Amino acid sequence: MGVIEAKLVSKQYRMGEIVVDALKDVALAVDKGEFVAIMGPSGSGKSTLLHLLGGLDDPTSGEIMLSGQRISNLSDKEVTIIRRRSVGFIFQFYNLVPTLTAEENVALPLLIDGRKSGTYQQKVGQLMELVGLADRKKHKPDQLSGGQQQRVAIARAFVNDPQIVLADEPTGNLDSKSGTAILELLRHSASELNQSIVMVTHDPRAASYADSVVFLKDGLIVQRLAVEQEGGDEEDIRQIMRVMRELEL
Amino acid sequence: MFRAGHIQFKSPLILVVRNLRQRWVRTILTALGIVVGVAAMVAVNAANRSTLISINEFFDEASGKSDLTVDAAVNGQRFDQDILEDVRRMDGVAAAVPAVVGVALPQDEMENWEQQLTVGALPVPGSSFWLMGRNILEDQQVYDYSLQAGRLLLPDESSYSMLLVDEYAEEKGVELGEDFSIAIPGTGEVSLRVVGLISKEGIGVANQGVLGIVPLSVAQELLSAAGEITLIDILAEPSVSSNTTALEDLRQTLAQRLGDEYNVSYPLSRGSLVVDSLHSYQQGLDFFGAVSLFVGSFLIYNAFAMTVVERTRENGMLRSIGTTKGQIMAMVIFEALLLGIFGSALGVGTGILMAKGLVKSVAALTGQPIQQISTAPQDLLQSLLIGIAVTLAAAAIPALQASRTSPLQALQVQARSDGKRWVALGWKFGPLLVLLSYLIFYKVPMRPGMMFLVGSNTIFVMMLGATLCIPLVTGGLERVVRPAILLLFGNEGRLGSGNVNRSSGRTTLTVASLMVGISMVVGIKGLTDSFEKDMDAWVDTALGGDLLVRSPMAMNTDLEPRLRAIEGVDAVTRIRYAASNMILPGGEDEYTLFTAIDPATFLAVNGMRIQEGPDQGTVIARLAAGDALVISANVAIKQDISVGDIVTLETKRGRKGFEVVAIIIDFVGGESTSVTGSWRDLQRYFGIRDVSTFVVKLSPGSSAVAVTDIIENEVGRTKSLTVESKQEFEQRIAELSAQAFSLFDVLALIGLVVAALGVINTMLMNVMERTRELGGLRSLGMEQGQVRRMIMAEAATIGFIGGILGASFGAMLADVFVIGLRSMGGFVLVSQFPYQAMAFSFAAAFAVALTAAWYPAVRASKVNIIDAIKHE
Repeated sequence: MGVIEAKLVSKQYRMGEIVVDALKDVALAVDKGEFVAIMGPSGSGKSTLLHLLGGLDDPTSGEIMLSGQRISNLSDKEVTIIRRRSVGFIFQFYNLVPTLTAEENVALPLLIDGRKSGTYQQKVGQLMELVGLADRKKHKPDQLSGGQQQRVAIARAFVNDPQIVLADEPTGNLDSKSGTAILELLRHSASELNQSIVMVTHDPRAASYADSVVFLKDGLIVQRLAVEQEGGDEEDIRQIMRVMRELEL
Repeated sequence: MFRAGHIQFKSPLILVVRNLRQRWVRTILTALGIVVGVAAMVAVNAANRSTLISINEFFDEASGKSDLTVDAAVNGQRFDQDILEDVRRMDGVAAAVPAVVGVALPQDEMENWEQQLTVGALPVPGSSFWLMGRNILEDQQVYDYSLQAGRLLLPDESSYSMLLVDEYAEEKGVELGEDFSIAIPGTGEVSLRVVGLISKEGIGVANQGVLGIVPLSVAQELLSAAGEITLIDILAEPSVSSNTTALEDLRQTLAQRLGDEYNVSYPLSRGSLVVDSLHSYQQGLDFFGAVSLFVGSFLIYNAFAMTVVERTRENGMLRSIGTTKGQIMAMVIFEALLLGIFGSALGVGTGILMAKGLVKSVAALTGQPIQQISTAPQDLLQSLLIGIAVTLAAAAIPALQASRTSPLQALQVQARSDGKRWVALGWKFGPLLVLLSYLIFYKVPMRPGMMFLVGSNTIFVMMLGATLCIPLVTGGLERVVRPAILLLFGNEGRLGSGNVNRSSGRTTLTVASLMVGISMVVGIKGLTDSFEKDMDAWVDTALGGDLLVRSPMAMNTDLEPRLRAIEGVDAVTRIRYAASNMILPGGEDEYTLFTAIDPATFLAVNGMRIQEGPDQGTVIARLAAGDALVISANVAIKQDISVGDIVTLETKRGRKGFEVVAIIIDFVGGESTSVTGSWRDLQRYFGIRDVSTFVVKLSPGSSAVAVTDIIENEVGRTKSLTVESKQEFEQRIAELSAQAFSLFDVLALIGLVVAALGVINTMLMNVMERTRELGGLRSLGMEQGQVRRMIMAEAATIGFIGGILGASFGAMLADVFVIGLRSMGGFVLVSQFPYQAMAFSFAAAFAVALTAAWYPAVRASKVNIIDAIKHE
């Protein structure tokens, strides 16, 4: 049983008269310490799947299970608390709070959870160290580069020791150097910290850092590809691109 | 021209309409700000105008067709009717109609009579019955008699026949043909047969219809005024009547011929007396009406500034496809114009409705009922244009900023921060404007006539200065309040309070609108407190006794020893109010209330609050010696009179100079001129011998109830004496003052309402602007309740800062209002620091901010997470 599972999940949207099938009977399981990349063209349902896994949205049918607990169709408050304590999010545009310093942003999920600041100072310090921003912890987001802001967002995603981290195009807004640093950080978290990660991306190079790549097309999982080497391997990238071509993604 | 497929947009302005529709909540809130501001202005205007028109119409109708009136220089005094012939012989006089008027009381009111007072402690018109003697044949040349039933009086009728106003007769339950009993001072009870009922118009409006018209000779007999009259109405020849110069010539010739003992005036001048006394009150109302619109302009500015920031990308895109700067600017201005027209038009309508409430208070103040709301089209148009102009002015800077949007900005996601610009502007002008207005108020001497104009404009400058200072103190105050916010809102408070530093301009104007609203409440409360405190002190000293004894009938001085003899009475003194005119240095006269006191007994019961002059004992001794007066401080300021000066009053024996021996603080007569003299001078110069009020001081330990009972039921049984305790009197005066000030309270509250709209608008803008951030926070696990608390914490911080600044600024305003009122020749007040009002207003700012933030907070908590995180 995976840390997180999507069991025959479908999602339909109604746009006026038209019903759009965003996802159709998708089944996906992610194990502890596994890093899964989701790829597919725009409108294939990548982000929808990520939102469902994170409890941000409810499936039309099927179930989402987090550590054996069904999270779909819970009340807003229940699912919010699960998200707060068991899920970490990383966004393309970082979504940091501009009035808070870097370390305050990292501590935000714990602050929201009502924990006393004394209890998490050390943890925040370690994470800032891990993402290489120990010397920038008092800086506000507007004093940090894009890459640095995304590293803060990653530290924030890990601060509550989540069972799963969901990343939506985490490198989509970064230069290649910063992007690589972020991807290495995610890879390291999965390998060394045994952290489960699901990442949506358009970039085959980014996907090469995952353990497996799930390809989505028109709301269906059309292929799952295992990645052989650890991150950035040219052969793996070519393999991913070949599948993309075959699937006309 | 904009093209999209086969559709042609004739104007890019179509975008404006769509924008207004799409952001409908903001459109409504901004329009409401304009509506409330304009409505306050219109309401004040309409209330003022209705009051003036009503008063003028009343005097116009009550004075009939007469062109001029002659009465005694000493108000209410009677004079020899032989003078009538002299008047009739004058060239240009077509007719001269005599009348005698005396005060009486219907028999059924003798038991429960209570004098009704206006704020200045003067009797309310219509609270006593007028017995009016007229010569009906001549009278109909001047007055309309609208007979409803029965008959009019007959020429040469000498029976006890009377005409009553039908409304009044119905109120009293008197039918045609029945007798109506009245008590007349000096004469006693008399029954008169009601032979005719007239409607409450023409002569029937006099004294609010509380009058009975009897043949002249009958009235003279009943009032013990044989051969005497009170008033002559003059009808001029048509050629004179239609020519203002000729009429003025006739007035002057008559005045000269009749001498100083008589007043020859235009009938309407009596109305203008009441109008004059309301002048500063109405100016005050105007001022507060304008403040509401001023606060509204902050709201409008904020709304437009936000719209421009929000549309940076859209404007950048428009610029990149060829829209000129001018076109962009025109779009914002057009949006403001649409909102301005819509909001102002709605404001005009709302204002007229609000005026109905306001006139009730003004009516209570003057004792003059106001029949209908009058509005002048030009006033309404003016308010409409001012509303539109304020909207356009408030939108001008945002429009300019919008026009400067670079096409490159179409690619930017984040708006520019305006923080530094506001702080720089604040340092440059804020303290300077506050200092400048402070110097004008406290260091520059001003003539009373200029005080309102300069003063009210300086208050606006001060408000602007204080507003510009806000960005300089917001950060510091936020740090001060943070622990309290953390305590109230937990960790969400930490996030919320910090948010106030994010958009300096928006926070500044929201705090400013709260500050101005709160400061108005504090300022007015401070002024009211000062007024009440001085009033209390005055009642305590000037009315040092415990009981006030009055009667609807004339009371003689011989009642005094009988009152003094009652067990439990320690001392008694008497007071008589007489109407007179003071001759001003320019030659014109001003209505003046002469209060006569008995120097022998005065100090045993009462006292004087002397502002300038020797001690009380010396002042009383000097009054006893005669030809001396003390004057109230408001008169001293208004007329520039000092101790030792001679003031001239109209008396029954002609004009008479009195030496001013002291200046006292005195509230008798409200804003009217008031002087105090001795009983002997009253008898000597005014020929008055009766008493208005006996003031009784009780012995220690004696029962007020027992003494009241003896006075009402034993000593005064035949004289219809009524006794009012000082506490009751004080309470009545306090209630009247509260009623007068309630109008200002209402206007200050309107300011607060506009401020609340501003808070809603700002918080909504903040929520919309931070949609993505809110989505992010929700995805990190923030519950809906936590989001609400965070937004509420932000509003609470704004409320706290607005409250602190508003309370402080309000304390300063209270002092400025007191100075203003003092300088404008109203009342003499000592500033009271409004601690209570400050505490209350501080709490109110909090409450307003929290209430106003509730809807935005709920909206924020319901943000759709997925939409929000996609939001740019």
